[in-house]
Amino acid sequence: MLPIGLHQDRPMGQPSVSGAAPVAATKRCQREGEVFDSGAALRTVLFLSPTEGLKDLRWEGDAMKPISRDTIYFLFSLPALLLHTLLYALPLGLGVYFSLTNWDGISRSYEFVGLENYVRIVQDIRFLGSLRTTLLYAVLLVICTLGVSLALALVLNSKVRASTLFRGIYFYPAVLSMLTVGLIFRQIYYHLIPQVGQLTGIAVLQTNLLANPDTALYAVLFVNIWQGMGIPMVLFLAGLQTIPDELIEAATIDGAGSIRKFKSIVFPFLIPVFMVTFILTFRNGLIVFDFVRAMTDGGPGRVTEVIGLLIYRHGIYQNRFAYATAEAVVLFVIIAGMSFLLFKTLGKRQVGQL
Amino acid sequence: MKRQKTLKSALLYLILGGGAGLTLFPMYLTVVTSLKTYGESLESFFALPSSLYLDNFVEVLTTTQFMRFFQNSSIITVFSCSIVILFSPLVSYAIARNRHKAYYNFLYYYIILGVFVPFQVIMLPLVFVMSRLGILSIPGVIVLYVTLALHQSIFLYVGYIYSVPVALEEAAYIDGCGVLRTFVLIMYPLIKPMTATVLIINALWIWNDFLLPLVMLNANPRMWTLPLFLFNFRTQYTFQFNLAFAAFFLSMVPIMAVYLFLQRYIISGLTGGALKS
Repeated sequence: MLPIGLHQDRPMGQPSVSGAAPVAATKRCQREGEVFDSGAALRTVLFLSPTEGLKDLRWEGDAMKPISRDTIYFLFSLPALLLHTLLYALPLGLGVYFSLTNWDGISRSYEFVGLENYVRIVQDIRFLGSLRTTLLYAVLLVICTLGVSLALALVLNSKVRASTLFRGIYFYPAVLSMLTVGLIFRQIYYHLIPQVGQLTGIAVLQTNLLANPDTALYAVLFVNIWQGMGIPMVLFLAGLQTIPDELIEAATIDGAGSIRKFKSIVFPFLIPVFMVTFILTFRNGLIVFDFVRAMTDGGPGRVTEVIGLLIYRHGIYQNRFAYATAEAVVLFVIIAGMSFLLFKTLGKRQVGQL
Repeated sequence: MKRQKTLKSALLYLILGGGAGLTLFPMYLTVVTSLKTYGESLESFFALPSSLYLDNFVEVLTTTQFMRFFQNSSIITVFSCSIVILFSPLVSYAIARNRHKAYYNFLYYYIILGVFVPFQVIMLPLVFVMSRLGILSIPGVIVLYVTLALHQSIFLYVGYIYSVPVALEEAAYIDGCGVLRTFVLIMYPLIKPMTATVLIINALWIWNDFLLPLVMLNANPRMWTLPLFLFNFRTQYTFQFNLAFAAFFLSMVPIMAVYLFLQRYIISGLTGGALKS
């Protein structure tokens, strides 16, 4: 991508334009690079105030020992490499390792038990029930959220007056915390909906929907949709604005109806956004925790005990650390497998970048 | 024909307005209920408060350490976001301009594959690692947020840096700029739209996050964030829900104020950097 010469290492302050000079410069720099002054490198990399640092560079520009560009690039990448290894890769590895033991999270000793936890998980009725609840929840969440947000985006993109105002209103739940929203709706379900039920005489609404085993999951789902539609909606809106008006005009002239136009023009343009929002929403559904913890805490009974909550309970409260990490690994395999399948079906199509 | 069209658009506005009402209603309820006395709050949910009763706020602010929780949330969000937008562009720049080298290509996939790992998967071992390192504290949580933000922000930044022509950097090199100066003077200003996107995504996430503070900070009330405070006080406020709503309202004020003034930028920032490639 870079023309020759710009890829090469070159001491600072020795610009060269011709093709031959950089080669010599590279050699010299590799020799010097081995004994580079690390203090200067750190000074160069770690300054926080741009203007101050620039002044330093300008003043010391000639005096500084040349640092090879590779070294600087490497120093750029170092914090991320270390952090990611220590706090992401290592816990992941530890998780897989602990899932093969019987550690309870507290005692000093534990034994290696191989795949025993996994064997128990696939026979565990509580886990399987939780998995079914979570999958149902995630699928419904995807269908409803994408349906609602796409419909809203289409309406707001057509010539509606005050569409910016409506967009602002429909988006605002997305900036609130899931926990606060969950707690607010908990109060609404507890105090308000029964009042509405008594006024209107609808039997289902007269009790607390969150306490009713038949409705609890859907009551939580409703709140999740209420809050989760904002971001897909603005993404769809942005996707809709990439469609050239000429295409729509041409189709109109050719006599295409609105359904035909949506199928043949609008939807193909939206596919990248659609895939991104699909993955994001499905993932959010599979790892849902805040809403459930705030509103039902898994109840009534275990009707709303989703996997995220189960892992939390086993791992933090019931001292079944190893078992809970094994459950987490199963969740990971499901999510990774699903994402892989989606990307595979996408083929080499460029996905939007969120 | 024309009449049908007016009817159709009237129906459209009716649905849009109804939806907007449904969306705004919980907010209305929160504000109204937080201004009611306990007696009023029992009578009716919909009615407006009889007077501007502010004692609920006073009570929440004085009987709890609300300001401390607010401060904790602010510190965590501000520091995490600042570090993210200072450091992830650096590593993204190094990766984007060196992808032909094995190390940087590996680093790229090594980090962005984290997208596929849900937080629950690393949550328990992470608590173990953090307590072993002795940083189950606010600075520890900041470091964690920076790490957890890496994969998404690097993914976004690297893609964006590809779209910046190399010619500008070449010119800077020829004029004698080193890597860092090229980055600060040329690259950082050019990737500002993506910085806005990354900042908004992470600020919203970190300010509102609940699960990570729950497993890291819940043991020590001095370190609670706002979501933790609301969560821990939920049972206390179950019956005095005028106080509950006052607490909800107070904790929403900062983000709602920001949203009210910067709404346009937040929405376009979320999509602008992300979808233009």
